Amino acid sequence: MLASVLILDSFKLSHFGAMLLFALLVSVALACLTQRTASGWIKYTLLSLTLFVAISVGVAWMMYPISR
Amino acid sequence: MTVNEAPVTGASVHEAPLDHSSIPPPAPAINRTRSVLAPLAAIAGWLVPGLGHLLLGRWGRALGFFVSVGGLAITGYLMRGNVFPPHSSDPFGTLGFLADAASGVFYYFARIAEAAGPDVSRAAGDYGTRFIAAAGVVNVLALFDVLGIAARRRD
Repeated sequence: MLASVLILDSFKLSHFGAMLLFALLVSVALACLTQRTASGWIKYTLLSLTLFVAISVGVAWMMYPISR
Repeated sequence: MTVNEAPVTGASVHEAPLDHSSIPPPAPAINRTRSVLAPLAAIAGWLVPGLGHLLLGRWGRALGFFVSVGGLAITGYLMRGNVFPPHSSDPFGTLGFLADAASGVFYYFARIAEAAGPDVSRAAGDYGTRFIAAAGVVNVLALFDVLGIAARRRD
């Protein structure tokens, strides 16, 4: 239990890092669902990951004036 | 087509009927086995993400779903996200439980991985709750894929 608590306390992710990891893992799942070949998986994962990140950063910039 | 060749007419097609004796009859025993395999693969896929695809011989998809669901769930636990208990008084808690429990063995793994309990007072803990729920939702998509693959095989 102590080891578990130590691991939890040492696990730090920035907001961007968490978003990147979430986007990567969900992109892999979506690629597995929609593509049949290995090259298709890689292409779809990269495309989906890029779109996730681009749209997230875009929405973040759109919300920037609200946060000020 | 050369000039000397006769055009194919409707009458000539009817003169040469298809030989149905060459088509093998459907094997009922194989169809029965496959109809049993579909729910079995779906249950296996719920218990261990990717196992349903593995039973149907889809190694790549099995690995992809296991890594995706496992990665989301374990990251959520490490971020100390909230794991919803089976008995909840409000409907959102019930929905949260259904989403969390859909990740199969990883839901029961939460008791070990998150021994210190959730901490949603920090943003990371709140994000972790979403990671854990997303793991279950991705596994539900994988289950529908398993049922689809099994149905296509049966047809």
